[in-house]
Amino acid sequence: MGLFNRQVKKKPENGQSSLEGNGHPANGDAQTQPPLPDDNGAELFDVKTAPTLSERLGDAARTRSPHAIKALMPWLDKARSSPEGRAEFIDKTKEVAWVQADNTVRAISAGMGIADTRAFFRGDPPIEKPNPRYKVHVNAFFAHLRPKYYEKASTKFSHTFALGYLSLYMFMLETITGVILMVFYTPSDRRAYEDIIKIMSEIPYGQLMRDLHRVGAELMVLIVVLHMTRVFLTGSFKPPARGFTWLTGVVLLILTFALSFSGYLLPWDQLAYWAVTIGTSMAKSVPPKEIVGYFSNLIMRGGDTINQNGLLRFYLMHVFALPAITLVLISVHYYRVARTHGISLPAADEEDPDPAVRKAAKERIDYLPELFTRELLWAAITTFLVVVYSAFVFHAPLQEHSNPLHTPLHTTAPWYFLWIQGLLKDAFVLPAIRALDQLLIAIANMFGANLGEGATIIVPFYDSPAWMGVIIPTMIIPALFLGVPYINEWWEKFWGSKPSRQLLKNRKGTVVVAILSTVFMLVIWYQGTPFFGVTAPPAIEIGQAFLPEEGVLPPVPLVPDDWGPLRRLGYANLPDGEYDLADYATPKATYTEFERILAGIQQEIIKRGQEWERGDKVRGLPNPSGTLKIEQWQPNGLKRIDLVITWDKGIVTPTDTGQYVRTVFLHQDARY
Amino acid sequence: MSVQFKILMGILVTAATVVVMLLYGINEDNRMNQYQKNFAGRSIQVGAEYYETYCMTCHGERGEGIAGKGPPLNRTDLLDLKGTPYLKAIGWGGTTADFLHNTIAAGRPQFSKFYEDESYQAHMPTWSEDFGGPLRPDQVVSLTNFILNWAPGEYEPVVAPVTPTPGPTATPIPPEEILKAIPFPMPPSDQTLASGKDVYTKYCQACHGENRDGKGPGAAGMAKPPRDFVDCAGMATLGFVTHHDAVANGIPANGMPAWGKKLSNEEIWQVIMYEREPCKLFTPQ
Amino acid sequence: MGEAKATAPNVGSAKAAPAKPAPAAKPAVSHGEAKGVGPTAAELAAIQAPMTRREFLNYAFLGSLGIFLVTLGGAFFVFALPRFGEGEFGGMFTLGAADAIIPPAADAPRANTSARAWIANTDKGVLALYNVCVHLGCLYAWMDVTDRFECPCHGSQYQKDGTYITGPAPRSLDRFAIRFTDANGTVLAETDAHGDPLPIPSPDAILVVDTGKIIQGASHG
Repeated sequence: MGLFNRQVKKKPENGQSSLEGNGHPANGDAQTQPPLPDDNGAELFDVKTAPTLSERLGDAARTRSPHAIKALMPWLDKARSSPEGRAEFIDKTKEVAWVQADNTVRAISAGMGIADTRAFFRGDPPIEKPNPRYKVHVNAFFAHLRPKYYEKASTKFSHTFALGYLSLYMFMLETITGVILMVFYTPSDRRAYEDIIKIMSEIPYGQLMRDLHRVGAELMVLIVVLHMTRVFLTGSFKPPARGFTWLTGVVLLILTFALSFSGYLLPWDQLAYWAVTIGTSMAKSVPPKEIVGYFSNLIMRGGDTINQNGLLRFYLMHVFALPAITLVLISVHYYRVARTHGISLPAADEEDPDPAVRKAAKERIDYLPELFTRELLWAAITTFLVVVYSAFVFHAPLQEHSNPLHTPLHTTAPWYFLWIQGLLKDAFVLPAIRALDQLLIAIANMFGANLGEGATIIVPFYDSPAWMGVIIPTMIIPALFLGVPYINEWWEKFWGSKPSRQLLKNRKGTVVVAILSTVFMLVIWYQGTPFFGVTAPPAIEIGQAFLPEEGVLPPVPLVPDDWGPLRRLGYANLPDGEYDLADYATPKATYTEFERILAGIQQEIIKRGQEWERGDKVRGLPNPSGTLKIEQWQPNGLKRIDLVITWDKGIVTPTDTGQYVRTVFLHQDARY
Repeated sequence: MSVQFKILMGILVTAATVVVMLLYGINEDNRMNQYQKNFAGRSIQVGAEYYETYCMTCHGERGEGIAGKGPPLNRTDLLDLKGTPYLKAIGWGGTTADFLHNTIAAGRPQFSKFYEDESYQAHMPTWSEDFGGPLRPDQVVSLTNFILNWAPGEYEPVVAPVTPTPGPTATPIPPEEILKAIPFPMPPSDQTLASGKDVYTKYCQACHGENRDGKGPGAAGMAKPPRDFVDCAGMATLGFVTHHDAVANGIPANGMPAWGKKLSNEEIWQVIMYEREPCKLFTPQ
Repeated sequence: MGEAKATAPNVGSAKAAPAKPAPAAKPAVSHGEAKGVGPTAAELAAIQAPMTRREFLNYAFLGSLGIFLVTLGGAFFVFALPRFGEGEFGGMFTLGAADAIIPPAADAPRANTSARAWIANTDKGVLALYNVCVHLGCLYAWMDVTDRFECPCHGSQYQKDGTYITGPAPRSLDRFAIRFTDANGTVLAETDAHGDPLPIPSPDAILVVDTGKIIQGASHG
């Protein structure tokens, strides 16, 4: 409507009644002509005699040409007859051309004319009134999603760090790279792994796309968590208006985890297979586990172990169901931020006693063009960083083909689930319950109950995976849902704080809770790493440290997996021979890289021996020694590395053989 | 930060991203080559581990073979990648890699005749789970790559598993099934031969000739002429298993198509009997 | 935000209607705009009006849609639930003669991948232990060097007969019901309800593992 009105208004007085209405009515296609209010051009053309060919062509041109040309027709004859008419015709042509061009630009820019478009790009204030840039927000779909303006203080970088924007950016990055990867990926237990190898070794930019997808996924988890932390610290979650937005944000956090976790299985390597096996086993413990746990595990896996069915289910979740739900929730979440309550102001500004400061904080900044430019810049910088990181620093790991018959040592969940894995090791509650049990037994025995070794009272009622893997993590979610927005307020009132959003002034209780829960999360996160609580036999641990079964994934995001120093050193730098590690007990400055590794193994062996001397029967070994044997196994570049560790046999256990061999093959082309 | 500065930054950063992408693209060929080798190498490493678990007890620690149990595998004459006399003798049309892969996957119903002076106590069992064995297809591929790594010179690693499509029309037909069908899945009766002739006329005659002499019109210009079924000296070396394999799975190198998907097993035996009729080679030698 | 200041409809109506002091009501707090006034006379009348037929039918309609969705969910559940065929894991596995299959009592247990079991021979008899860790489903393995089962994921440890030693696992290892038969299929010995070790009746008795019958290990103390 606006467009049409403007066009009519701009029309000059001598432009006759209508720009498009001056064609010849007699021979025209009636249906293409708008009804004419006044037929003052009709007498210019004589239609009584049979038309000649040129007249017919002229008629055709007049009636079928675009209305802009038709509008010029009345001036054409004047132009033929007189020089003034010619000048008038040229003026008229310019005018019509301007209207055409301006309308085209208005249509494309969804509201801004040529002059305003240039003013927009030049950085000048808008020319027309009302502000045509606001009109863009009404007319254009993508612009209508954004608010027309923000309050100035809410756009401070140090207030939001653009984390919400970057979360959405990562979601888009994941969608785009994910669709590209789907081109070559087949969710089949026979093809999936081969397809990943193909993407990495036969498709140009294939590895980059996979790395971008991986980097984006890990950053997305990181940024969403940081975004949530920021909202918590600035008190931007407070009900009534923002409580529900926080709630949708919690659901989005869970969806981000679910998206990341469902994608974890798809490469179908050992890393993927066992991490997801552990993850789905947690579902097995959901009480009542005979019903809910049993069936939810079966439904997720599509069988009693993860197989073709499970892979397909995870794939469909990853590429279809979860992104669809996420998109809907992002829309709800964003709608509330953009339309219902806006980005919160910094609490200090909002609560400032000086009305001038409060007023300045609410000063408007138009989205177009200032904030739009800023967002484009953020997108450009993030893209650059992510591309550089994926291209030159980080490559997504791909380990051996999944083997349902063998669990690699020190299998871990992805880093963002390590806290659950730490809970599952149950370092606090189970020992406490055991101790309590011992105490109860002692008390019972005092009263003559005569409970012997192995008797239990309360331990059998404690189901560790159910509590630690499911119930406590699930309780954290309602805590996030309700606790943060609603209990927080009650809590602060209870301690007599004024209802305020300023962190250090009025929310001291919040600060204490935040610090405590962060420390708790870090502790259980550390417990989730293989450094805590998983002790394989000491000789195997030495083998794992220097020649791991599979690449060991560090417990932090965006660091590639590590295949141990010997593999990293590479085929070419491993001289054949049998090395008695005792010869390398005292490191020398002249050692080569290889010899330094030998010395490192020997140090570890000596340490184990000392631990045994100190009486540590779990980590120590009696009188250990080691040999490293490197043999050319096949003439075409295959070496065999044997790490042999021997110790006094029959001491640790009666049947102990006193020897452990870790064998690894290394091909000259394999790179780690 | 002024708006102009932001715009300038945006331009520079975007241009830098484009440059990074282009630089990355320049090295892609090189990188992809390295990765192909990398994954081929890893496949060989994995194969070496499986070899220790499954193969070493019969074929020896380093593929040297164990007398009376399993033949050597590290022999260059077996692994000559251009095709070995042995593979030619048994009429194998595929590559050495295919032969190894199929032998590991589907086992071997006959004792190896590669080394005539040796005899072996055990059959090669089927290893792929496709044929009732314990190994997944990717493990068979890794084993194949490991064994091929004994070959002299450049080798072509088997990258993708040769996955047989499961289902009733699946080919290749595993040799133990062929063996099950021998001797005489089809007695060489008049009826068999008549049915065999029908099949022959429809599918084989164009190249192998109306007179079964290998001089059909379709044979013109072939580098290696089709099998002459009238040449009894030549036919005497053609065993039932090889004959069946040639019909069912074809000999790609010579241009013989695989008929296993088109013909039923019964029809294949009928046409084999018809083809063996001129020399009366109806009994397994 | 300009929109944030937009008045919600109910605020407008509250202003329009004469603000009659309603019976003491707490300020209604919703996720949207807080109203801060109790219900007006018109609102009270609307709340207290009896249910009309149309209102009832509307609720019934919504309810039926809800029931339909629940049915749909149930159908999807049945659709997605995996099924187990005959001869797969979950059925009986005949492993073979005792002297060929079962390791000597002093030896390490043997893994059987098709039955997903560790066949362990203890002093008291034979056990078929389900090879999945009762903690989180990783595959534990026998460690010769320490003479026990160890899980590589979270470090649970078990003795040869599946008894829990240490780690986060909630109980001892699960075992399958087993039986020994003679060549004719007559059952010579069978696992009891506790899943105790089963002595070998004779060296040529055939060991049969019933993978459909998993006996849970005892919770530990």
